[in-house]
Amino acid sequence: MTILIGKDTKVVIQGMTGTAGKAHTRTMLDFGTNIVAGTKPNASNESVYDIPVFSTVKEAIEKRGANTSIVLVPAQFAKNAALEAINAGIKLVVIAPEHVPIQDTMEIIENARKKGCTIIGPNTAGVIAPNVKCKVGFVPNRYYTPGSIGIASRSGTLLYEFGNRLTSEGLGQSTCVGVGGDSIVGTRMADVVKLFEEDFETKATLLIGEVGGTQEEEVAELVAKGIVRKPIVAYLVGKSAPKDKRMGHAGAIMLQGKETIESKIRILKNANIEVADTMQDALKFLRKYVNQ
Amino acid sequence: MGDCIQLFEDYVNKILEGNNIKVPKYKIIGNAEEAKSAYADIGKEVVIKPIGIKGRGKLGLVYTAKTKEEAADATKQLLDKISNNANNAKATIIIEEKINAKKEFYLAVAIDTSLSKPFIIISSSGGINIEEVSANDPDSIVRVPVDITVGINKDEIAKSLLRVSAEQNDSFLNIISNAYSIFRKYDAELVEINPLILTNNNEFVAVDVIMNINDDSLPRQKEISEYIKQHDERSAIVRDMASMGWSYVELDGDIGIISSGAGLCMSTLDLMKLYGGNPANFLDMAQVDGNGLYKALDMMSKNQNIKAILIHLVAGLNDCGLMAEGIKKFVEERNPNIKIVTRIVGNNEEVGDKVLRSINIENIHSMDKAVEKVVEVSRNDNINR
Repeated sequence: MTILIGKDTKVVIQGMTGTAGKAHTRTMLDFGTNIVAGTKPNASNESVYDIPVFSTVKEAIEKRGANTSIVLVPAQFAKNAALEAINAGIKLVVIAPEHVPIQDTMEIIENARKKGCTIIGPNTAGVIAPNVKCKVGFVPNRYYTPGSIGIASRSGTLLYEFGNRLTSEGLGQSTCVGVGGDSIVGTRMADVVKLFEEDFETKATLLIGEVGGTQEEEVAELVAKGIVRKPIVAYLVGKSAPKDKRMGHAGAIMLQGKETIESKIRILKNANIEVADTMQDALKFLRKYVNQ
Repeated sequence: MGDCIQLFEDYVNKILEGNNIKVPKYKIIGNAEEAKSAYADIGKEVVIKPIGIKGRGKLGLVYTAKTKEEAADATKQLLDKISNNANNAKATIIIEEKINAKKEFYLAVAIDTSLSKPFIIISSSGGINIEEVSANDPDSIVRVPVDITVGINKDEIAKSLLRVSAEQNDSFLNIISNAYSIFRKYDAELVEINPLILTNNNEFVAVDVIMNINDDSLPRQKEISEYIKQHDERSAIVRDMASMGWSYVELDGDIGIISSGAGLCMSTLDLMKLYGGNPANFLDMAQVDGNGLYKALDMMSKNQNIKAILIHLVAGLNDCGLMAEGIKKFVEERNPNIKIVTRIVGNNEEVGDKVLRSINIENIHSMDKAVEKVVEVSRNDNINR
């Protein structure tokens, strides 16, 4: 078992014929992903790597049974692409581009909520499940190997870095989820951790967090309440980052002193989540749980 | 991730006026003489303050005046104070009508990032102490979530309003509705009116307004893009970096960092600090190629504080070989006296290693060792000087 994606995942790639679209399609196919279709505006009898390209997601669903999409169009067009997929009935949409306007993201998420669709991202390298050879995203294939560590990461490049380190030290992964680097994302770390809790293949979760936002705190709350019992190891970056721009008083009113890196670490530790100072420490902590 | 840009208040005032929210009469002035004639237009009691200086109240930079002589005098004092501080040399001064309040409210349209929704925040305790109010008396603040696909629900907000205010609720509701329209129309992350003053004539006036725009929306916000171009006060290097689409923050250390991905870059900074090094910047190049690296090295070598540069890249789809060629070109053309340490791994890394070796750079595959090395190199350099 995996989370979010699995053996039944049939992917449609929105924006398949662009440079990035083609390149990402190639590496997803190489990993073993079942890509059933692509889309582009006004497609006519086209294909990429023998996969048919349609004009609409609706056709990809009707003709090829697509149930998952990845949006690889430029950020300014991401909202329309995502809404098309949501309205056509796709159940999981991965939104890859960075720089999607934040109000567009809110619109996408609100629409997805109403239609029971799961959004990953925006600004994400995607999801990879080595156990079932399925990748919906563009993390480098060779950094991942089957195993029992689940990853939820706000950073794409750190998802690469940890994949590489874990794999080279023989620590395989069940599912790795790039939740996306934006301040608003469709699926939050807490959602991912809850899914890992139900996933019998996942023994421990690596949480790759960052300064800002409240996602890590939400995970701590799940653990403190006993909703999540599987071990979690956290690695947080941004200890030396310049302070974020303050958002007037509204930020303070809404956050009540949360979201500094120090408070994040304190809240995680209070929930008995191990917080690693370095990546090497994170691997050391994780090894305890998967070698049992 | 997008950054937010705070607009200057004269521009915010224009936006509010254009969207049916009343602001005090105001004028931009450049000297004491202009203050006198502006006073004549605005009248009676005025406030004189610099635009774009944070914490100006606490810095003693906000003046009030009741005659044109006082206005001229205050402007002169303010200009003197500003010119004595190099950082504020370009500050603009605004003179505006002082609005007397029957009551002061707080109103904001903001984004709750944990719920991914816009929120209307209203309080009857407007003014500079709103943060304390929020901490000590959270019940005096009303927060109403908005379904962005529908817009504000006036009935729901009207009910919430009853908790903070008992009068003029129809016009208050209009202000809220207009503020939300502004938030949507300009792709704002925040529209904050504090205080929103109810005058003795039962009129609402937005006296101090903060408006932050989400910079990812600038491609479609042409007017604001143009405004930002005209008010660009960033340093040349920051501007150059931004024009490449890179995210760059200058820090006060002596080790330059060229990286890709905010997470990797931040973890590099953290590790560097752990090893006792001092980062000179944060640079997230997003998409990297040889040409981009050449440009980044070129821009960064203009920073006199930098003694060593760490190039830290994990290539997913891009090619280590091509990135190394960019470094090679820079080193061969410029023969820089800055030490370069690299960790460039991923796609085609063996070719990258070879290219770097040809210019005597031993590419280090371990992140920890690469960071340790660049810290060591920067120290040795210090001793030599």
